[in-house]
Order: sequence, then structure tokens, then C-alpha cells
Amino acid sequence: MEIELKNVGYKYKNKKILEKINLTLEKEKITGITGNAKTLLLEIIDCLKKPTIGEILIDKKSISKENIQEIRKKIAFIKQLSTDQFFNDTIKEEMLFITNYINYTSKNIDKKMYESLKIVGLNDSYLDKKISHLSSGEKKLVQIAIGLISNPKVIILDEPFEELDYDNKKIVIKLIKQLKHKYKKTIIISSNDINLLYELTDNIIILKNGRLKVYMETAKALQDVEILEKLNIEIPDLVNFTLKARLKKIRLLHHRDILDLIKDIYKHV
Amino acid sequence: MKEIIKIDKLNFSYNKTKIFKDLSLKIEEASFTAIVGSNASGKTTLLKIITGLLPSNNKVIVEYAYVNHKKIYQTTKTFGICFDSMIDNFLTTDVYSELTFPLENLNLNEEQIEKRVLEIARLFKNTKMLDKKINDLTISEKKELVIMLGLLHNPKILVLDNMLSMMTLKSKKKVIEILRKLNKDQKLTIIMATTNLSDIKDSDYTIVLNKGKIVMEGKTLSVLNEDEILNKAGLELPFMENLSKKLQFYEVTDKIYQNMEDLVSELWK
Repeated sequence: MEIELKNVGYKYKNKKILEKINLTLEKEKITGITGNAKTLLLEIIDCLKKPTIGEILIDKKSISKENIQEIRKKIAFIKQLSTDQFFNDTIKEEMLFITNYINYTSKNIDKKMYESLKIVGLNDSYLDKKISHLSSGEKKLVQIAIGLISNPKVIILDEPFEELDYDNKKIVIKLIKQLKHKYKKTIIISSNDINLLYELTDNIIILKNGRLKVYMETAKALQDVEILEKLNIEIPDLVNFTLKARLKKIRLLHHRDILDLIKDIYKHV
Repeated sequence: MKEIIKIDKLNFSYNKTKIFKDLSLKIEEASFTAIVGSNASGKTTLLKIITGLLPSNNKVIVEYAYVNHKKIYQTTKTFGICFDSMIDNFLTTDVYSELTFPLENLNLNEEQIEKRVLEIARLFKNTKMLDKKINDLTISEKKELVIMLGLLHNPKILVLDNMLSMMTLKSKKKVIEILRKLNKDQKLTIIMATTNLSDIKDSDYTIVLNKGKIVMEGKTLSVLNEDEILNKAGLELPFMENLSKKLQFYEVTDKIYQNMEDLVSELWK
């Protein structure tokens, strides 16, 4: 599924929050979004909010009352706060509620529920667990599992790591990589953590003052100090280290994993 | 230094799950103490017990008096309490009323109230925020507002639970700067719970919790040196500590460097 935003803008109380956003999301890639008004842009991509100007094209077709239900089934939106996403007591109830709500008809809804839990690495026993008894890491995984039920093509994660500790963060990062490589999903992640975006994403969108300032390969954008300084974005630690070493005339390469950097340092000392 | 909080062999369970067993700790007056631990390590429960929101059966002494859960009004003036969940629980619809409401309850006259509100807004360099509706605030601003509310009545001890997560880098820096200043100038005791080790660099003292047990405590700098214990407690080392530790393993360096330039000049003299 191809999502294209054409000249999209959003006004709120006569204030322009987003202006002139043009972009086409690359399929089966992880795209990171950072800057102001991230959530709003995600909600527009999700077709949850209608832009005040411009249009969204899904597979070259614009959105209408007839096709919006179909489209939204193909996009999963994982909210930042898990408390905003759950309405029911147990995971099973929540999943049935969602399948009902999106008019999802499948002969084996039970099987589908097990499958999506399995993808996120939770076993069947979780179906009857109470949501209030889950840890925040488990809640995030369940949120993703619920998103997966309608077999979406696109998964949008709004600040997925903020509530998570280190161990859970590692689990969710692994899951996101798996969703891209194994299940061929298109993934969009918003975050303020520039180090994490540098390590995880293929492409990056940088928003500032409501405009799209950068949309390119993550490596290119975040290794370019000029761009980062102009947009007042901190340099990723890994990039910063390589640059500082190069000032000392040491030919370190840019690395996106700390272990690769260490091997490279080891070669040079 | 004298201690302002003393806990002696505290036991606590939720329903039948044991959270703390014989937990003892001391917090010094006018110190900046960080409590770190992964999700579900007991940070929030500990803070709730210290502030009297949960019963402690005469095991917690604050300023030479036992904290009494049933007579919580005795200690409310001592504490400024900022919990993560408070961003969803504001009482009024706009920032100004939200800030004046607690002051009205303190029986101050209008002039004093206005003065105090302006004072606190200036401290946060954000007088513009006073005219805003709560619904229009970003998450960072909501968190700042919670901290403002905590500081309104000039408490002796400020308790922050997870307040720096989900904040933009700019707000985070500002808030840490303000906390540091209040800690130095007004001798405010600060207790800050977080899962993120890169947020605690400005604290003096750190307590590490893992599954309800204190696994380590000491000066923040020396705590950050103990990567094994921290990793076991589900915590992620900040970039520089992580890099130095790994280089140490390869015998490239011999100590922890917190400053990138220092490490680079040490590696390539």
C-alpha cells in the first residue's frame, strides 16, 4: 500500500500547525519522524484526522466515505499511552471489540488472535489476562498484537519506547525489525530519541515549525552536521564520536551499532 | 549532613504480592537523590509510601516524625508531589486556574496568589503558558505544569516520579537546570525516580532498585561505573559510560569517560 501526502496542511484555531507537507512513504521500510507536531502528522497518515488543506492518496486514489473503512483496516495505529488504547477488561475482549468495530470478518477469529499474539512473542494464556495486570512492556506488545489483528500493511507507532525500560525496549526493537523483515510491513515511528532513530530507521522525516524540513535516508541526514545544526537537532552519539575522532585525523567510519564502532576504534589504537 | 527521610525495615505488599521486604534507606537533607529501576521495580510504590499516600506502619520518618497514612495532612506541606499520571488528572480547564486553585486553598489573598503564580511561571521561563487551555498543552508542557504545581507551596522535599520521560530535550534540560538551581539555592531536597540513566547525571546520590530490593546505592558517578549491576537491574548505560566500559573490556582504556572529547584525546594523544 502506497501512502502519498500532497500539499497537506492542518489548521487549528486559525493557527497553522502543519503546512505544505509533500511526501510518499516508502514501502517495507522503517521511517522515523522527529520534531514538532509528530502525532498530528501520524494521525493524518492514519486517516484519523482530515487535513484542512491538501489530500492523501492511498495507492494513487483519494480517500472517500466509501473506501475509508477499508483503508483504515490496513493501517494500525499504536498510541503512545497504552491507557488511551484499551477499553476492555481482558485482552480477548479488547481484540473482539476491535474486530467487531472494524467489521472484520474472518471465519477463524480465534486463530487470528492466537497468531497475532504469537508474532509479538506472547503465548495463548495471555488472551484471558486482565489488561490492568500487565506490565508496561507487555501492554505495548499487546497493543501491537491488537493492531496486527486486521493484518495491516502499515504500522504506525507513536513514541513506542517512552514508557519502556531497557529490557522491554530491546524486545520491542527486535519485534519492529522482525515486522519489517519477516512480515514485510511498512513501519512509521515517531520519537525524540535521535540515537534510537539513527540505529533503527531507514528513512527519516524531520519537522520544524510545521514544515517538512528533511525527508531522506537516515544515515545521510543524521551524519550531516550542517543539517542537524540548522534544525537544532542533536548529533547522534555514534556520529559525534566518529566526527571527533576525524578531527584528530583518525579515519574512523560511521557506524550504526556501538560494537562496530568499538571494532573500528580497536583497529586504530 | 542530617537525614530528612529515614526508612527502617519497611515491609509492604499489594494484595498478596510482596513488594518490599525489610527495606531500609536514608535520604539526606538538601540532597538530589535519584531512584532508578526498571518498570515494576517498586519506584512508584516507594515514593507513595514516603509521601504517605500508601500506609507504612510507622516505618518511615520524615523530619523526625512518622508519616501517617491516615493523617496525611500532617505531611502534605512538606512534600511537593509530582507523579507521572497527574498529566491526565488536572482539575480545571486552563493553566492559570490550575495554578491558582491550590493557592486559594492555602488561604492567600488575591495579590499574593498572582505574585506566586507569576513567580513560578517566570522560573520556568514560560509566562505565555498561563493563558493556555490545558487541552492545548503538549505533553512536555503538561509535565512542566505538574512540576510547577508541586513547587507552588515551597515544599521542603520535591518528589518526581518519571517526570522527565516523554519530554522534549529542550524541556528536559530546562527542568533539570531549574531543579539543580532550587537544590543549590533553596536547599530543596529532591527525590527523582526514573528508568533512564542519562537523566540522573545531575543528581548527587543514586539508589538502584531491582524487584523491590536496593541492589546498590552511592554517589551517582560511582553507581554509573557498575555496569553489570545496572544491566542486571534492567537499566541501559548512557552512551559514554557504555562505550568506555566496552573499551575497557578490550583493554583500550582504563576508566570511565563521561566527556567524549576527553576520551578521544586519551585514545589518540
